[in-house]
This record gives sequence, structure tokens and C-alpha cells, in this order.
Amino acid sequence: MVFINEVRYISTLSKTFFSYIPSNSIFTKVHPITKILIVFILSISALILPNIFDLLVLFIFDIILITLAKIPLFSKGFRKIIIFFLLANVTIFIAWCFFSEKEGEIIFFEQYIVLAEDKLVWHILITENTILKAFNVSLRSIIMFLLMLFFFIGVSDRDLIHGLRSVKVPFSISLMINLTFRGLSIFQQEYSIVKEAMMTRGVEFDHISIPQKIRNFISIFIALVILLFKRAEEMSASIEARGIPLRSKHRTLYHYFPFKKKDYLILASLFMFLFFSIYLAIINKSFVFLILELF
Amino acid sequence: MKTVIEFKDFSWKYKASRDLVLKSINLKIFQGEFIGIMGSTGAGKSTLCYCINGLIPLRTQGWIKGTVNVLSKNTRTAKMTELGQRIGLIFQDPETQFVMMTVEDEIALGLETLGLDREEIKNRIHWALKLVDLSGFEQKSPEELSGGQKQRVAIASIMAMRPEILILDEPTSDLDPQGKNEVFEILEKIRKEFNLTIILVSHKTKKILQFCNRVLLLDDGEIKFDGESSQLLEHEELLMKLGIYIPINMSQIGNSASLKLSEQINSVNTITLERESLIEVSHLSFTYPNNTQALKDINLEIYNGEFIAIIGRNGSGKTTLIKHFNGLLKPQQGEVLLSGMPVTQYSITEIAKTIGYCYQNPDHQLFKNTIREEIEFGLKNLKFPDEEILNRYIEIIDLLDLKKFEEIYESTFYLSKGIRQRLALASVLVLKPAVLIIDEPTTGQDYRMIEEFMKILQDLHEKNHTIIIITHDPRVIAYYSKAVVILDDGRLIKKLPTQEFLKNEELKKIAAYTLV
Repeated sequence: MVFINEVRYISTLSKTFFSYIPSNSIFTKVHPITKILIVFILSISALILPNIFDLLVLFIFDIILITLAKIPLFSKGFRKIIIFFLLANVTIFIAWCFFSEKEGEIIFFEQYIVLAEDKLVWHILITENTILKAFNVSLRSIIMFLLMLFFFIGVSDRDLIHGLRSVKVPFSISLMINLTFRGLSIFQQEYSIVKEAMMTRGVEFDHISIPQKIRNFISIFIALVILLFKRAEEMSASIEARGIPLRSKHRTLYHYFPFKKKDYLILASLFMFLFFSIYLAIINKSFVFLILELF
Repeated sequence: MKTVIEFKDFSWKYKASRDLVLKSINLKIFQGEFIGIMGSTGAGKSTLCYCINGLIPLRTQGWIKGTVNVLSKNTRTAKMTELGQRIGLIFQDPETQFVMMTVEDEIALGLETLGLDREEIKNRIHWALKLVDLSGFEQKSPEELSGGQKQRVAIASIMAMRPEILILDEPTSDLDPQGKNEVFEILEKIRKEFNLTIILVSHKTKKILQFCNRVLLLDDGEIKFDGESSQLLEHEELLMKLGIYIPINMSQIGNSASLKLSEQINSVNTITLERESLIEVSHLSFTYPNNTQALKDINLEIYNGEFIAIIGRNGSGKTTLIKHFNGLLKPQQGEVLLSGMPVTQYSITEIAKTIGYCYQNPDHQLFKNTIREEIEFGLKNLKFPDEEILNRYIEIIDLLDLKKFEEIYESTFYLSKGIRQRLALASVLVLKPAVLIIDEPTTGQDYRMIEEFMKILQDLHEKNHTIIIITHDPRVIAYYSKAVVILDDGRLIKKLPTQEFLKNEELKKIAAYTLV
């Protein structure tokens, strides 16, 4: 029997986007499907949980998850994406404050902006509830962002593909996902070569205007599309030439990835959590209040 | 002997091609034969292979006449799956044949399709990897393998399926001499061990003569020669006509080149003293982020008007060194001077005017839709006046004979690889750089095309351009370059005149200089 979790594989996404090679953690040997479900179920919970306190609990849970998975959030490779994400979040927060109106105590300011002909065009009204709601939305997106990081870094592409096949997902789908990952790593190599080739023909990439930048990227895109078309064609020819059909009754599975006790435990608690979240969403009450009521 | 492949009056035309690609082919191939197929680019060699494997007509659109029977199956009615599993086909590019994430998965992919159980798959993976000398490579990903190793994995993944016929379509043209040798050694091993029918498409006359017992010469879709390989060299005229390289042995190459070059080299040596130094590299070291030290304390001087070949095994640091010349990489230690000034002080546009760089694969450096746009691209970036752009454009398409293709093809997308390579050269040359760097100009091209390309370079050299080529091709080194720079494992071994290099067996060994 060959179990692929005896050897560690590195997630292509992690390597490609964060140049980060994950270290061993307690999640390394968890079934990839379990990891996908962790992300999926917790994301659903983040969307349906009604109260900010519950979201905070979920956020803390997220942080614990990231720490257990040994993802160094504050290291160099992650800096860019985290700054980008935080900026996006600030924008979301401000947008909510300015463009939504919630009833409640006015806490910030209220102002009418009057434009031409004394017509009331717009006003800004920020209440306690607006801030709360904006905070709520930001928190949800932060939770989901952390979960995505957990997924990209914790699940290697190879594990994912064998995991999917072990739970009887059709070969065509797993092959498609596999080719996407393979394409990604080829794409990355080609992109940097094409970019360099443009520099050797006098194209500046730094200190130029945005329209010029866009024009440059269109040129890179043309070369890349041609390359990727050719690559895709060659790859499919090489699969065809080996006589590998998408559907086959006789196909066997070399790598079998069984669910273990750990997986069942995680899955059971995940589903319990999901049902509890749904219950909370229906009665529209906070988990924290429920606990307080108990005492 | 049992007939395994039979073409009966077979013709084929692709949907997009103008003429018939194969014309009334009649051919019988017997079990256990090792057949070499040769011919110039566009002669129909690959098409012939696809017809045997069933990709044509089962997966390709076109017009067909006649029949092909392979292993007693008519390829028109057989199933692609069955043909694919019994007839192994290996392509030129090792990168795109690697579908899965690891070597083990790559081999298992085909075996799972055969419906084998886990134990059998495991055994066959071990067997196949041992066959291609890659035992212990099971868990490697494609990024960790060299080109030669990837091609050997491709062979292993086919051999593990125990095919009855093995077809190799230019399996070594993307590889360095060492990679080429690796693949050919494996082929010889397979040929000896199994009574397999092997069909090999290659430009390497010497290897074909060495391994194959029968040779087919294709030209314009027709078989011009079909006979024992020992008779091949008797048809010298035909070989010349088809642009096929006629090998002479290595010492002869050394001697003839020496004779030809001895005068020039002497003059180079004397001129060198007076020539101004163009690129000066001192104590250059470079380490990639993944801690691979690619260059170790390199000291090198390149003079104006030289014709240099940079040689060495794959991974010896050739490309890394070149990228320091045009500022794509910045020196971590030491410095690189261009005309006496550090390269880092020039802007990208200034360097682009002085140093032209041609990539190995033209697809990487063609960004525009038409030939004209492509040629004008660099000039526009460097903000030349319109009149100058037009003049240079006319000059360059005349020089490289691209006019006719501009009339025929609307988009550069449809040009053949050879023409795309020529266009890539044109788009670099139009900037009139003082230095021209070319990375592997000869891969996958037939001998005639290589000669044409090298003649253009020679002309430029005579017009006092400095030419630097990275190459593995011994003919290019011997016949065209005036000096060689040998790199090994990131160190500069020596820079010396080509003539001296050809006499030095030890250096030849370091540079993996062999005739393949």
C-alpha cells in the first residue's frame, strides 16, 4: 500500500504566490477533503452567524487554526498580500460607513451636502449601528481571507487531486484540476521569461504611466496566450497519445487516501458547528448570550 | 518476419494545410526493426508518426486516402485508447509531456488506465525507473528535473505500459549533449532488451547511423529513400538536397575547422591587443533566492567584434552570466562593465540599444500580431523618429528575406518555428545593437536552416558586430565561433580560441562537447 501522506508535497500556490514552503504541522496529514471542508464550513458559518460576538469567537478560532498550521502571517512573503487585503478592508469599512444608513444613535456626524440649486443630493449619516455593521462585514471578510490562506498553503495540489479521486470524484475533474496547477507553474515560468524579453527590447516596467503599463501587459498577454495555446495543445496530444481516456470502467487507483480517526473527529465537530451556526442564525441570537443566559 | 505497420497508398492533408502532407505512402515495417526517419523541416515526419499512433485520423481533422494498418488494426476504425496503449509516442518537448505533479504519478497515470492493481503498478514504476536509470526519483516534481531527465521520465511512463511499438518524434532536440546521450543510451538498452519496434525521428545523422538498421528519408510528403542505414551515405547527393548533415568524424571536424580558422585565429589574437574591451566582468558571483550558487567569481573580458561561443553543461551558469551583460540580473558581488561603465548605471532602453538578446524559443519574444508591428516594436519603445523606423524596417525585411511571409500570413501566429526564429532575430537586429547575444539558435532546426541562420550571423560579425552565442552544437562551435568561453558549475574554466579548444580533449570533456 502506498500512502502519499508519508511524503510531504508543497502546495504550488504557496510556492508561486508567497514563495513560502510550509512547515510540518498537525494538519499536514489531515485528509485534503477534510481541509477543504474546514474552509468551506467555517466560511458558511462566517456568512450566516448573525452576531458580532460570535464572529469574534470564530475569528479567534481562525487565528488558532492558522497558528496550528504554522503559517507565519507576518513573514516577508505574506506582507504584500496582507497589506493589500487590509487596504481593501479599510475601503469596505469606509464604504459601509458612508453609503449605508442604519437606525440608531448618531455617533459621528450628520451632514447634508447641497449641490446646485439648493437641491439635497446626498447626506452622510453614521450611527452606532452603521459602525457595528461595517465592522461586522470586515470581520467576515477577514475570517474568510484567513481560511483561504489556510487552504492555499495547507493543501498541496497533489494531495488535493488524490484526495478527490479517493472520494470517487470523476477522473476528468481531477485531471482538469491537475492540469490547472501544472499550467500555473508553466505560466509562471513563461511570464517571467516574456517580461525579460520585453525589457531587452527597451520596454520599461518601472516608473511609467498606468496606460503604458496596461499596454505593456497586453503585449505580454499576446505572447503568453500563444504560448499557452501551444502548450495546452501539446499536453492534450501527449495524454491522448498514451491512450488515456477520460472515462474508463477499468481504471484503478494507485494512491488511495483513506479517512482516519482524526478526520472523522474533525468532520463531526465541523458539522456540529455548522448546525449550531444555522440554529443561531434562525433564532437570531448570539452564542455568547446563550451561554450568559445559561448562568 | 511479422508486419506490424502497413501503409497502403496513404495520403493525408490537414484541414489547415495547403497541400498534401503525406503523398501515396506505401510502407511496411516489421517487428523488431529500429527505423530512423529523416528529412527537412515540414517533410511530414511527425505526421507519419501520428498516423501510426492513431492521432491521425482519430483525433485530427483533415482529408485522408488509403489505409494504415497497425498491429492488425485499421487506424480509421480502431479506438484511440487501444492504439495509444499499444503504441507509445514520445514528443519533442519534455516539459509538456509531464502532465502530473511527480514522476511516480506520471508513470502511474497510464498504468491506472490499464486497470492494473496497486502492487503491479508499484512494481512497474520501479521497473521503468530502473530502466531509464532514474531509481529514487519517484517523488521528484518536474521543476526538480533537467530536460534530459524529464525526457527519460516520458520514456519510462511509456515503457511501463509495455507498448509493442515505440515512436520517438525528435526526442532529443531540446536537450543538451549530456541529455541527448542519456536518451540515446536508454534507447539502445531498450532495443537490446526487448524485441520492440522502434521508430525514431531525428536530425542527428550520426546517431541514426549508429542505432537504426533501416532509414527512411522523407521529402515533401514522399519517401525518397527506404533502405538499410549502411547504404545511406552512398546517396550523398540526395542527402545534400534534403539538407541533411553528412557526418564526418570528430577529429576531422577539429582538423578542418583548424585549417579553416587558423589564419583567422592568429589575426584575432593579434587584433585583440588593439581592440577595445566591450564587456568586462570582474569577480562576479551570483546566488539565486533558492540558494543555488549559479556564478562563482567570474572574471572575463569580451572585446569589440568577437564571435564567442559560451559552452558548458546544462546548469553551468551560461544564461545567468549572459543576463548580467544586459542588466536583467544585477551583480551581487563583483561588477560588470559595459564600455567601461557599470551595467547597473545604464537604463533599460540604453542597454537595449547596445545589446540585443535572442531567446531560445521565439515564442517568448514575439508580442505583436503582425511581422511589421513586431519589427517596429523595439524601435517605437526607444522612440526613434517615424522615418527612421520605416527605413530600418525595410532594410531588415530585405536582409532576412521576410517580405514574402508578410504578404502570405496575416498574423505571426501562423508562421513556422524557423520563420518565427528569423523574425525574432529581425526584431532584435533592427535596433542595430553592437552586441548580439543568442541563446541556443539551432535547437530543433534542420541542418539547412542552421546554416542559413549562422550565415546571417557571420555576415553581421564581418560588419563588426560582437556576437555571443550559447550553444551545444559542435558544428556551430567549430565552424563559426572564433573563441569559446567554458563554464562549469558556475566557474569560468577558460576563454580560449576555438582552434585551441578543439585540440584540448580535457576541456572538451568538461564542456560536454560531443558530436551527437
